Amino acid sequence: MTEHLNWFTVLLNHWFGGAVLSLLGALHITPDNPANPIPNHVAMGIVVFLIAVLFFLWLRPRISVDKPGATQQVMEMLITNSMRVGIRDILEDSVEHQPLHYLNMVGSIAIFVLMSNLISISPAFDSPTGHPTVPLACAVLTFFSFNWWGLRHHGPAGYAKTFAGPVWWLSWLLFPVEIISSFARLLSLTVRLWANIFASELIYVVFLGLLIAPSAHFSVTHPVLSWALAVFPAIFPAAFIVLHAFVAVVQAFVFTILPAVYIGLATSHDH
Amino acid sequence: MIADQRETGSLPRRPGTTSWRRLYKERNMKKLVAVLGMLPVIGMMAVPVFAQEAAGKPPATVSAAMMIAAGLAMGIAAGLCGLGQGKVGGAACEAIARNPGAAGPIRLAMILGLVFIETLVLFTLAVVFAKMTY
Repeated sequence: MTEHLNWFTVLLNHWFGGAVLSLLGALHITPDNPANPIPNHVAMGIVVFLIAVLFFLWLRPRISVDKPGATQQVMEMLITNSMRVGIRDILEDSVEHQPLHYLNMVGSIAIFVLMSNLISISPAFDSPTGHPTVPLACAVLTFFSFNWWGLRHHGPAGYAKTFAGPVWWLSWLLFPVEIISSFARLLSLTVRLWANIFASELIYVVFLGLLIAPSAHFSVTHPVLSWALAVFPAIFPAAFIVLHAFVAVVQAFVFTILPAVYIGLATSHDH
Repeated sequence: MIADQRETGSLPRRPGTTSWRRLYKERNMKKLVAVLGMLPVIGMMAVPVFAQEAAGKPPATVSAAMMIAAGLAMGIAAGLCGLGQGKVGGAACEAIARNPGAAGPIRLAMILGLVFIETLVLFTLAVVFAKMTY
């Protein structure tokens, strides 16, 4: 299957393709597509990174306590808002001990996932999270960090005890189950985000194809009818872009809650 | 059960907060029962019936069977997801009708529940896409 390359991917491969290819060759890795060694999702991840860094570098000197601007207010609502769904609110509700200590990690992942999901609203970009490796990277970061903080909080023996369950005579059964369910979090975080974004983009393409079909059928025999029927694929799939925006925000929300809950469970005492 | 504990005051609750951890823990209590119930199923799954793996492109009959299986899988998953989501939506509507003041947190918990149910269908979709080698 030939993958459609984004314009930014083509540009990035034009500039850095040779360097990346020689770097991968030095590491004895053969890329899937030697003509374009930088895949789409990596290029789009770089786009998200650049947009986020430039935006927050632009915003940082404009933050003011006395006269907050509109952009600052919206960004503050991302952190804390009256519906208690901001990143800091979720952390404070989920983590008992020092919730703000984990704000950097959870907030970075949340903002990256949110922007990655939302970027494919623009037809010029694709979602990096529509490819399984990018959600996997976020999930691996989450997995290592909540285990690390659990180890830091309880110590090795105490952290192992949190896996053993509430009653000692069932711990031989619950210990492997808890270990497996801990690793299953990695899988479910990855597949949940990837499958949602993938399906959300796919449903747009499928409905576009279904609506284009009658127009394409008459394109040679009745050109005027074909043009009239082309109104439908031009208008109706826009609803799925709105649906995609909703799915993108909700999935970023879920990808903020679940790391916060996992950190809260790993560092809680009443287990 | 959580509501009873909250009324007797054994679980302190800050006003205006939704405790995601508490929602999560309530689910974890049922884990032990689920694990004990799953043991015989896991035992049956361990029988290596489907040990052979077809390499490359399958023959036409297998390909047609995969198409049918994919459609059936998505149909079953979507239908049962509809049942589950209907339950979630109905329960949320009842809860909001009983206590309209708590509409905000209830709506949030409902959306979260809907998303988790919907994700299971998308797991099926992912499996269908991973296994379709027609």
